[in-house]
Amino acid sequence: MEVLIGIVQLLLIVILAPGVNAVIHKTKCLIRGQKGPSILQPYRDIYKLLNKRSVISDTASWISRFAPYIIFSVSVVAAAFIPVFSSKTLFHFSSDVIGFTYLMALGTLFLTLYGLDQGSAFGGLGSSREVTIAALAEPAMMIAIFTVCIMNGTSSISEIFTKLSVHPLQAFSVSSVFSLLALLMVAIAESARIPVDNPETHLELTMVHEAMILEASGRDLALIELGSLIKQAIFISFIASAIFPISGLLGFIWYLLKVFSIAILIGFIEISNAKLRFFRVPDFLAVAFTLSVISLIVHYLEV
Amino acid sequence: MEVKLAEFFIALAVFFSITIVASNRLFLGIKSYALQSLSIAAATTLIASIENISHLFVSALLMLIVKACIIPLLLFYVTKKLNIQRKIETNVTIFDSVIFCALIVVFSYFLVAKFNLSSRVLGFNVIPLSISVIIIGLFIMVTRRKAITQILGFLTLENGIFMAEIASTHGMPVFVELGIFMDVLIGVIIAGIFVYRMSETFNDIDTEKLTSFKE
Repeated sequence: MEVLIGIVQLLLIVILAPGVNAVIHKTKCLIRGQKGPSILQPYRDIYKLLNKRSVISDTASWISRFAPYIIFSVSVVAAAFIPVFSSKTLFHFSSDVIGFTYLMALGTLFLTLYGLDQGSAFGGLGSSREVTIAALAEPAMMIAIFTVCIMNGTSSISEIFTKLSVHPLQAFSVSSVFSLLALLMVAIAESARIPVDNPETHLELTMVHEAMILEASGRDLALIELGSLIKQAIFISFIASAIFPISGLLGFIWYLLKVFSIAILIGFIEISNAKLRFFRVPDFLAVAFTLSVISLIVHYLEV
Repeated sequence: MEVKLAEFFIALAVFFSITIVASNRLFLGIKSYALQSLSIAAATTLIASIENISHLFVSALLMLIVKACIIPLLLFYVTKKLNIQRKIETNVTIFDSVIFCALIVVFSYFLVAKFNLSSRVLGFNVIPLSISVIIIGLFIMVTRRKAITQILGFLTLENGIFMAEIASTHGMPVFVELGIFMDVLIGVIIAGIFVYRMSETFNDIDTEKLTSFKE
């Protein structure tokens, strides 16, 4: 039964992932006064790509053949850590935050290797930018997640969920407000969204994520895209799980509500900000780092 | 519960003062200031309902009208009218000043621990957070070079003072509050005119250039 609940929660995040992205895109289109594609469009795209053969460049080594599968599976494994409506995730016996964050980093590593391996100039450029962003985002993410852990006295994501659903008011302490804001900023940076990277264009001067997967096609592209979408959904779900979690069926509806409101919020942030120059990205991530440090110290100082 | 919610909005105000520090474009800074005033207005409304002081609702409403709408619109107007280059110029790099903000917040927590006023104030976090808004405002005034950004710093500082005052005095007499609002509004108008005169005379609003005055 526990395993069944775990599998359902995992599948939920995987199935929801393209939908979350579609909601963000739809929000932006509606604000601009456009009709926008249907919410189901990313599902259709991925289905179409999955049925196509992939083409790999001549210079590519075994990394290019394996990387899409590794990126996808790492994201799915990380998704198995995240509680949706019950603390009984697939890895609830050891859902450790350090394992969780480094699974995500493994996905990033293989994505950057994939970009380098293709032998195209854009791939290397994208990889170098992605590594820069990831290296700057990591301290902010680690400190923010550790603060959430320290507040709840445990490093297991499932136990954090259990404790928070017993004491929901915890999510409103000042230090957790700061750490959630920091996590939101890191989520925007890591899932290549607007102030850091624009997911809608292929402009060679600015693209980061798109540059790395420029050579990918067919099934490989579908797997990499799905992996990135799941990663984004994981970040949003993690933030959602830290705000007033409820377990049970009601918790499921509440979870959907929270995830889609965060998606709409991200849409608003995207529409009201210009993309930053690449050398301004450290300033953006410095804000996230500052917020996470403030949250850590305020946790010890507030009574 | 309501105290926690008020603290949440004041934490948001600190966040928006950090985004003013981090913004490299004037419009982003002005928008952040409007959002900061909005969250302080929300916090004031909550404090008014906790303490049951009716005239604090008036302050919250004035906050909403004057500081979240009129002053930002005025600043937008001045910026557009003068064709000011919208880039913000700083003496300290933005990265360093953002990191410095963390030190400011920590410092104000330690400062408040010395005051020992927890018995009189609702919510432990309100006073240190408002003091950090005050110091961040001062920091903006000192490190930014353009007159408009210095006005933003002054307004941030004033927001912090307003917050600290509301939390520690349980609301001042209504005429004092009204006077403060008038002062700030008139101050911003005068500062706007001053900036206008400055750009007329020197074609620039960089305050560094004022030091090179010779008779």
